[in-house]
Amino acid sequence: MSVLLDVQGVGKAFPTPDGSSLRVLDSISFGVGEGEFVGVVGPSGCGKTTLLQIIGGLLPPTDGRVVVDGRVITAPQKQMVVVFQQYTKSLLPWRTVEGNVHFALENLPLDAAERARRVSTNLKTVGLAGFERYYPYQLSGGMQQRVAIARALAREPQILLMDEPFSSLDAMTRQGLQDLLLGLWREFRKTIVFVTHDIEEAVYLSSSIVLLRGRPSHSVERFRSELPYPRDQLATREDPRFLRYRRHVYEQIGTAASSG
Amino acid sequence: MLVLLLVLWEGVSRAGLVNQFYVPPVTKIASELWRLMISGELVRHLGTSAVRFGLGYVIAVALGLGIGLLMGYFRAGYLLLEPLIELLRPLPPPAIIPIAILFLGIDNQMKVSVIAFACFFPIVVNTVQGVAGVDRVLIDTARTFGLTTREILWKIVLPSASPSIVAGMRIALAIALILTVIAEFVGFTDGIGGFILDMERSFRVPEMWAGVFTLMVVGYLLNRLFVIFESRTLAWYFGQSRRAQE
Repeated sequence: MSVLLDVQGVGKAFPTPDGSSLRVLDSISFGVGEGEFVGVVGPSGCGKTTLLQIIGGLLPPTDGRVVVDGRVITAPQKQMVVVFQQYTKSLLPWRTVEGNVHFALENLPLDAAERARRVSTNLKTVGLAGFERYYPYQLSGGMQQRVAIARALAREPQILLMDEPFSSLDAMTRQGLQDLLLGLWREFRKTIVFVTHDIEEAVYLSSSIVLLRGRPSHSVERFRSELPYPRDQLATREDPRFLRYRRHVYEQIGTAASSG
Repeated sequence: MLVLLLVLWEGVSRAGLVNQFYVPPVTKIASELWRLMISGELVRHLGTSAVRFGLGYVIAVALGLGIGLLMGYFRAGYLLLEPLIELLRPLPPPAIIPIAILFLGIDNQMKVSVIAFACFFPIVVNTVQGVAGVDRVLIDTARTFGLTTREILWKIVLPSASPSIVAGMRIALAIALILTVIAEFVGFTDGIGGFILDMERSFRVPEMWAGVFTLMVVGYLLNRLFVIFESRTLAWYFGQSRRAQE
């Protein structure tokens, strides 16, 4: 498997009000192969969001670099889309559901018919056919995040960068969306980098897991998951390997969390 | 209630409880109003005022929006312009009329400028505030889709700030009407404000009252129009607020 996205020694420091700087990330390195589903797990506040924004070209790294398809990332790329945690803030409240999906296509060189086609097929894909004319505030949280996913998919990116997209949803809705995402990943062969602090979620979804820990965060480990696909909310979570991975990740991150 | 008040007015005036010369009966005022409408005199004055009012308001909206966006979105724009605006803003707008007369004379240029000047501040201040309140996630969303800064301003920042901007435009609307009348008091020749003052000075009191009533109706209609505009452009916002309160 060839490496599509390569995070090479990325570090990030933010200036603080007193003039010094706060280092959040330190020499983070990992590669993501084409078609992989990589879960990046770390404790809350470890800079996962910052890392994802760097990968997505929204934020320049202080050191190191991100290389996608042989090119160093300095700005957002057409082949990558970030899906944000705060779906309520990520949707345009003055646009309808279809307007929101359409928004993502307006600066792509497509004709009107193709845009309309992508809007309707992607809304159908996430199970929102019939809700085209609704406004975001008329939808539940889970449905709003589905809109955000449909919008990201509509651009037909190679890579989806997801920043704790399900963490503000209730457990049932979250599981539904996890399975939806796995289905999309397998159907469209996307490459996904999924950041989360939820260990079970990371183990359940990912084909590979990257562990972050420490302050500043650095990547401590990366391993491939042997859990088979398709995954199942009951069977997978009862699989002894699931439990073993969960324990392992917990031990790695838990110790970091308590010592940091 | 309104009818009752008008009937009361009529009675009080006819009974001679007040000086009938200064406060003529409503029917007298109404017939004058009718006569002035028919003769086209009032319509002409209203037209003149409307042009000044409209021009001044539109200029203020354009400048207020443009400068407000620059100040709200770009830190440098804010640092550069904020002191100037904060210095000029507390000035009661009528105070610049003498200055404007000095440079622009007493004609339309002066009047339109004064209206625009007065309306500019509520719009620019509200625009800056609205733009500053645009959520970072929304802007990042636009960036991840590769939108340019210009597209972000137009498609994200402007609509997102529109509730605040529209509130500023509403304040400016009332101010525009006030300043139109005040500016027309200068060299009272034409426009509805000029007409009212002219009638007062020539002791044509019923005509003066007719002018005041017309102004009242115009102000009311303008406000109603604005409410319609507001509910059209901000339907999403009101829907969202209603939902949030439930």
